[in-house]
Amino acid sequence: MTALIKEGMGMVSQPSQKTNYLLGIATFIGLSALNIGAWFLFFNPKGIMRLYTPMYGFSMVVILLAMVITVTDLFDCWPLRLKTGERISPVQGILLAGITLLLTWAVMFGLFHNLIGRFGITYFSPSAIVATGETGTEIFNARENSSTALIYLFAAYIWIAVGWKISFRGWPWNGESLATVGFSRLMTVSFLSVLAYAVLFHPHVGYLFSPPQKLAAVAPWWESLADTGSAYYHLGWVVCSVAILIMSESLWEGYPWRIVSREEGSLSGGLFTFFGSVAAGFVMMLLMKKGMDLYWGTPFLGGQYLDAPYFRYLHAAEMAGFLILATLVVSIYLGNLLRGSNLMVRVVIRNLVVVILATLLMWFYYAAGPFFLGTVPGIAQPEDTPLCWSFFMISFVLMHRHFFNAAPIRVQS
Amino acid sequence: MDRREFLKVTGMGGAALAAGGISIGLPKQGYAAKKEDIGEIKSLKVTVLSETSWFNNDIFKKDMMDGGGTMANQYDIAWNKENSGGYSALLEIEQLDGSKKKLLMDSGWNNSWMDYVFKMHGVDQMLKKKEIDTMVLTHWHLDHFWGIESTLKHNPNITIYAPNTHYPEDMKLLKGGKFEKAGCSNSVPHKGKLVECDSNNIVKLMPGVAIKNFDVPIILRVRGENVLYFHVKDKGIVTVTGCCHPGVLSLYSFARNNFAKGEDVYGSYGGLHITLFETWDPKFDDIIKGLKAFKPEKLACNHCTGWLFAEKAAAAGLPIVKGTDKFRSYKKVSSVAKNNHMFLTNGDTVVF
Repeated sequence: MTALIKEGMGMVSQPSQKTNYLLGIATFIGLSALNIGAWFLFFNPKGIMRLYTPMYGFSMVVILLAMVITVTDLFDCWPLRLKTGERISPVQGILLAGITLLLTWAVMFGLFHNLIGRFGITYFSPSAIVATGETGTEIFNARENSSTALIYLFAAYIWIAVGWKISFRGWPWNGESLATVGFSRLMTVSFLSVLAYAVLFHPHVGYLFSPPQKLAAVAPWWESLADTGSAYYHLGWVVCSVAILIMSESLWEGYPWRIVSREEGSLSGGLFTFFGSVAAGFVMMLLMKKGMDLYWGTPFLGGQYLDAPYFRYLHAAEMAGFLILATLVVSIYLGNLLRGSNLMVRVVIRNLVVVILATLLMWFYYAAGPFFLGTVPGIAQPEDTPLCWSFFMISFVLMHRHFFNAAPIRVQS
Repeated sequence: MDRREFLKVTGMGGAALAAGGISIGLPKQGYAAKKEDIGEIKSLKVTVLSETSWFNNDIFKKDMMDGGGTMANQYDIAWNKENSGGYSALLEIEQLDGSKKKLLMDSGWNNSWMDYVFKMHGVDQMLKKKEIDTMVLTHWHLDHFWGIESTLKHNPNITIYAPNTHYPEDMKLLKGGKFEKAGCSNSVPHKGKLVECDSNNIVKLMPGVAIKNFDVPIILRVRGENVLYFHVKDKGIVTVTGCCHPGVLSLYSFARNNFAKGEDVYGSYGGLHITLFETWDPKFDDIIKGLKAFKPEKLACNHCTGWLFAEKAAAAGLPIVKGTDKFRSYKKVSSVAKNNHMFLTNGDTVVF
């Protein structure tokens, strides 16, 4: 997600050639059409496979995005690319897409449903949950609960993976082969994301069952802070932090982290960037929540729909998801908009365009979604989250960018 | 550009997105400036005609998932007819002057089941004799509306108060129509008055009784739910719901902000839409804690509330009204029926 067009320090994203905006927009619309077709095939409630139940389909999408990020950000497209910057051919692109899809399937069904779930942690496998015979453990609930756990785990993974890449860059493996760096990053990111998941999300999953799994999970410890026991509280700031990282990498040309970070990365720069993005993400979530509170009224403990505190946090994540998508569109398809001029001017204009585009994308989801995506009209429908579709689109954009060089707009690898 | 400037830009972007994004939805209607006085009633008696909308959760869920999941159109799903029952309640209101009025709330799903239930409680005769001349349809879900023929066959001229958020399929069924795949039909067109309730207004049905439509998205592509508010003299506000999709605390909050003496919540009857599929979530613990803050005195819940919630709420000290063995006199019982009478079920009554 982070390897955008590199110039200067190698940390920033600026257009390297004159941008054909019309071609960029047409390319994005074409990709969106392809995405909506795939959505119809896999997820649309009126479509073919109808997997958006919602958690089952959502978990597939989150794992798909995590695998795209693994292949691109952690492994830099190794083994089909042996050196950073090597151009990916269309055939290699198809192979990388195939590898990503295969990994998604293997991780979800092989690693979690059939290995970890059956021989380790019950709640990662629908069939293992059903086998317990406990209250409410029939296949539909079991699949949704198992999927919820996977969504949280891989949300943590995406956050740590993007955070690690942008924060620490090549450190501490500069000069090593792509394979060495890739596996090292994978181990580090996996370890840290398991830690993050255990503290931020596992308590929620442990309390998805009756009786609550008290010996395996503490009660949600954030309830008094958030007015809800739902881990959507953490999902809110985590996705906002990812948005901050992506926006800073491209729209803000590496600032403010660039003040401390070096091109090749460092421990101090990494810590500054990572924890700075966490703080900024938290502030972003609070600002968004404040806006919602002013508009919809103050939510209250136990409220549902728009009155639910957990919905406000989830909706912050949903808006951040559209911000990430809009940022990628501006960076990849619109060449990051501006060159020259004052940095502040560039940043303000890019931010403005991204916010407008994110709002348009959100409008599309809520207004046109019922027609194009088969979703239910209205906001705060408990069985629907725009994060699923925005993450699906982000996966498509990233695969198009990294595996197919964003053809036909021909950006550099 | 320093960090402070960047954070400022970020903040501006976030706030703008929040403002832009949320502008898609409509702001909450501000009733708070002028509180409505809906009057008072002496008492309300609710008879649970049927709260078993379906008899087996697993079959219902399988039908739903096979048909496209929770967001699919309910008319596009091939439901197992043998599994369908319905939700309906008889409301008997005593006015302050001692006069009494009967209302029917919802008409269930399976016509054969609802015919049986109505006959069992004499509702068929009440409809024929016009003792019941008004039905409040809480929402357009299959288990509340598709049994409409069972009502209309006895009184096609009945006045119906329903949410205005209906689809063409709903009107087709109401006016006399059939849906082969979904397995629902109505051969008796509605000829009476249809009062479409919108979310911007409160409908005062009679002194002490009001209907408020909450325009919320609901599973199976349904939107909007009518909630009945009663103000029982010397007791307080009572909410009566089909499924309570907007959330019971949102209902209480609405009463507190918009009705005279609305802060005095006495209790609730109906589905509360919480653990209908026997699954739990930390946000349901939020509801228990939030409910305790309102200190209701009588919670007569059933249907989509889920026995699991009722059990946990009772354990937490909430005044859940227990059921009796009357449900056993019905020809079919739910697969999740409990011997511990966790909440009101078929044939039970409650008085507020």
